[in-house]
Formats: sequence, structure tokens, C-alpha cells
Amino acid sequence: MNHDPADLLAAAAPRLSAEAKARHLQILAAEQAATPTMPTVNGARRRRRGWIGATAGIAVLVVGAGTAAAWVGRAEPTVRDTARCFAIATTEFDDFDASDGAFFDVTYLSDPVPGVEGNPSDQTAEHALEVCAHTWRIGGIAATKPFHRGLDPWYVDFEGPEPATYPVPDLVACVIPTGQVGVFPDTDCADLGLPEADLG
Amino acid sequence: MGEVEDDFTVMYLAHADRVFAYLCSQLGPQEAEELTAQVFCEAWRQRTTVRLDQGWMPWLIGVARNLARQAAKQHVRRTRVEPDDETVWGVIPDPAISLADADEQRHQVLAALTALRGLSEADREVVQMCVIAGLSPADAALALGEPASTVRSRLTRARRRLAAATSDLLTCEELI
Repeated sequence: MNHDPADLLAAAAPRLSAEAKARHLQILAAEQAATPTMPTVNGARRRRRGWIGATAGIAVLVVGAGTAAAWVGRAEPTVRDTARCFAIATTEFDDFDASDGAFFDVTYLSDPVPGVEGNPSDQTAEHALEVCAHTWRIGGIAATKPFHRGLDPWYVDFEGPEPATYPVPDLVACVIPTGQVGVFPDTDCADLGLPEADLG
Repeated sequence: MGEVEDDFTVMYLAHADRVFAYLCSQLGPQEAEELTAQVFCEAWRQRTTVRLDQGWMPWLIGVARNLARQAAKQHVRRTRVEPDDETVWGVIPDPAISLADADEQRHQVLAALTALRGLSEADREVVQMCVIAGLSPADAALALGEPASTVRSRLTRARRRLAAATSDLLTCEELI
């Protein structure tokens, strides 16, 4: 069983333990306290967007921050309680404005989403493909701006009339630099410089 | 905590593992962990002046590279695998493979790490940046201050040499 050594090193690259990350965040907090940042003024704040599923219990929130980076191979998501559905194959993985609002985060809240098995809030990653496919199917996400089919982006009512069924593109699950699963239409993770998500 | 601090925490969480892995490829895990924190403290201090046309990673790795060089002046750069390296390298989470295969894979990873540490500095750096830290050749070129085409060709050559050196190590072990 011989593999390319470079691929092996990439797959076996060490990761910080949760304890080490907690220590680092404490150090950073001390550094930030020593050199604080002035509050941003209105209009300079990052745009945020959210969707809330009324009874089916799917909530969708966007938090834009951080930057894109190139990854390859396969990886496990480190953030498992939310996944990010993308309307287009963009490399603006974490910049909501730069991506023209083409992504949002999904989190299971309470009741099962129709057609999606399981519901534990800590298993969103395993269901990322199903959740995003479901959202495509009901028109909650679409390939062209405004990236949904007339649904109020703040509210998806699963209790109302049977939602229309729209085609679902081929979806791929990758790990984006935030550590979440990012679900993209009609592309490959490698084309986006991302590792495929190991959803185990 | 303000929005800027929140965003910075998100940035840390998105990049810290890869900075740590990069540092682990040349230093011991404990020192790599300490320097990773230093890299992000430096990033916080310089957040308003850093140019981020290509995102944070090339800049973070550039800082990590400088810190690792300073550390290597104080100690001796690792040229082979030490016992504490084995606590963080060699584990590829894959429940689908048998224990025997996992052991074999771990053995190959440590051989690859040994081979990597034996490469020339130029070859080693592109592998550390592009393979272990996951930078694209263009981003690695930014961190190294060299043309992207140079980094691409060097990476191809370095991967070939790494494969040959790893194979030699494994063959020697079999003979012994």
C-alpha cells in the first residue's frame, strides 16, 4: 500500500487540539484588550441575512467573515452544527457581499425538515447535502440573483401550501475555510481549491 | 467583544490548523503551538496595515516562516523525526481502513516527514507551503516573494524528490 508521500503528508497534517485553540483564543483576547479596535460606524458593518423555518425548524443565517484559501484532498468539517449552502460555484466562501449574497448557513433547530432524515443539531454536517437539496427543491435557493425564488429571505414557511418543486442541481459537499461543509452546485471541490467533505 | 474581534476569531479558526501544521513540519509540536499563537497576535497587531489581496494565508505563512527561522537559529532545525513529532503526525482519520493498514500508513507518513526534512531548503519550503499548509503556488509565491511559475516548477520537482527519498527510506528499512 504505497501512496504519494506528499498526499500522505497533506492528509496527516497535524491539527491543533481544542485545548490549544482555547489557549490561543485567550492569548488573542488579551492581545485584543491591549490594542482594541474602535467600533465600526453604521454602513461599515457587514451585511447579515437570515432565514427562519417556522415549523419545520430550519433556520438559515449568514455570518460573513474571514477569507478564502485553497485546500485540496479530503477533510472532515470542524464546524458541524451549521452548513453553508451556495447558490453558485463561487470562491467567495466567506464574504457575503463579494459573493453577491450567494450563500447562507443552515442549522437544524427542532423538527425534522421534510425529506431530511435525522435532526440532531450537532449532525448538520452529515445532512448538509440533503438540507441544501431540500432548500433548492422548495425554491429557497436558486442559481440566479436574488438566489431564491421569491421566498422572503427571512422566513420559509413549511406549514403553508405545499411548496413548489424546483430542480435540484448536482451538489457537492466540500470543507470551506470556516471549517463548515459548503454545498456547491454543478462543480467539483478541487475546482474551487477545496477538499471534499468527509461526512463519515 | 466587537465585530472586528469576532471576525478575527473566525479568521483564526479558519486558518490556525494550517499554520500549526506548517510550523510542525519544521519544529516540535510544542514550539509550533506557541509560535502559532504568536503568528495570530502579530496578525492582530498588523490587521489595519496588511494588504490582503490574496487573503490572510500567504501573509500568515510568511510570518510563520520568519518565526520558524528565528526559532531554528536558537535551536537546531529538525532534520529527522523526533518522538514528540509522532504525537501529532501520522494519524489519518479513516475508519474505513484496518488497523494494520493504518499502522502501515502511519509508518509511511513518518518516513515522508523524515524525507521532507532531508530535502534542500528550496524544495522543502514549497512542499511545506503548498502541500502541508495548503497554499496555492500563487499564494506560496507571495509568501516567498518569488514568481508563481518558479514555485510551480519547484513544487513539481520537490514532490518528485520527496517521493524518491521516501521510497529509499522505506526500502532501506525493509532491507534492515
